[in-house]
Amino acid sequence: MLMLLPTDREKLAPPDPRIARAAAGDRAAAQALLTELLPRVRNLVRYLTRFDNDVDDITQLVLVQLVRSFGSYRGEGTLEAWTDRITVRVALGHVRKRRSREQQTRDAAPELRAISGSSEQPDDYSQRREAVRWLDQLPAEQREAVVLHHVVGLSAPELAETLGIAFETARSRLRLGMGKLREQLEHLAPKEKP
Amino acid sequence: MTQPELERDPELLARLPLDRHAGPAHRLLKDRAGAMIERALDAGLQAVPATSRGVRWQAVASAAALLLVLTGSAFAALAPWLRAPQQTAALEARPVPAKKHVQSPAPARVEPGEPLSAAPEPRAVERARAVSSEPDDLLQAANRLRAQGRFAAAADVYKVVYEQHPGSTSAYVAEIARASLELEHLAEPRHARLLFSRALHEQPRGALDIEARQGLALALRDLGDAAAEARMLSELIAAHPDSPAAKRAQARVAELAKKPGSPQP
Repeated sequence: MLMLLPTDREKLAPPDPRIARAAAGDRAAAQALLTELLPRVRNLVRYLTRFDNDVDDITQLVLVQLVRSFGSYRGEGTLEAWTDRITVRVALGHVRKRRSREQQTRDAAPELRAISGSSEQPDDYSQRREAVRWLDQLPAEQREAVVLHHVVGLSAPELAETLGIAFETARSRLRLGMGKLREQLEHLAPKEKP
Repeated sequence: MTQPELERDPELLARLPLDRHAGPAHRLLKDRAGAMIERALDAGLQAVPATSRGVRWQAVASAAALLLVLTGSAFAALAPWLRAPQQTAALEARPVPAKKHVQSPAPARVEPGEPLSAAPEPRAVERARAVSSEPDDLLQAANRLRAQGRFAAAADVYKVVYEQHPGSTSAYVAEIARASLELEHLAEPRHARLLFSRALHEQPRGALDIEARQGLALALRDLGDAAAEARMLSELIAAHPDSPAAKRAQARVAELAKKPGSPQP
């Protein structure tokens, strides 16, 4: 079972009163919170999984877990950080279950390529979509390490704890993943500059 | 030896932001986002007894077991909780559909001694057995374990209920509660599929058959068997066409039909 620890970077903040209401079963409060959190959850899920098709399936599981877990929110960090931890736990569990099957049946991310090739002008959205393609090229273990450290902001011990691996292993995965990403950044850099 | 802290890469961080803006997840239509949230609320709020209303799915089994404990009477408690009065009447008045569920996998495939969790807690089972062998007491013990997040131990106690009181309503409820745990918390969709199938095989028109069919469909979804998932959802729709579960099942069947290469139900 993955366990993410609260970290120092999570600053104390007054708890949103809607959380207590949602924990007590207030549907409107829970709905409002989920509406706010949904985009972030989906983005983090996409960082953690290689395929667009899986994003909404996993997000659905995360949302259910959030609704069931509002009562466990202690206000010891931001709601976003708490949500990230749940998202990571659910998404990694799901991804690992499906990994072997996906590797056998899929070899690309066709939806992503279709969207990135649209006629839209480059904007934040398309740049983010392009950036996640770099992650898609990484082996899953390296990808998880990079995302948890650089995107979610887990510290090194948290990273090792979350992935259930030794610190040195976590660092090695991170180093390898970062090396490959930097290679891609360097490769793309000349194209991006006028 | 102290563990050195890793440095975060600011350039990479800037390229992989995590916020509420669009991307990297693909854009989502507003109505679809709303539907996702509604489904989550339907499933998630089921676990809050004070606000439980009507038929909801996923957490139904565990909450049903909790209610059983509170009331001490299985069906008397199940019926009003699981289905709103109007809906219960409608279901009872409706003729039994000609189409029944498909042949379920053989229940014997779940071995009595087979460990169904990564971290079994035999002490919890022993404690529960030591306190009482009454099914309601065991269900209560299982519910407490579940509330504490000790899902593997809770599943083990549910299993005890099933094994010690075969054929009883408590065993039926415990079986579905255990299947729900296997599916939702123990990442064991294969076991969940077998348990849901066994419950459906034993009581095809049981009080929790909607939940069993939904759970089985979810397990099949986790197992990547889209064709079987679609079949199970179609059976659910046929068996309970007026239920909220049928509407959700129809939506999911439509989603499956849109996926490239997905077989038609």
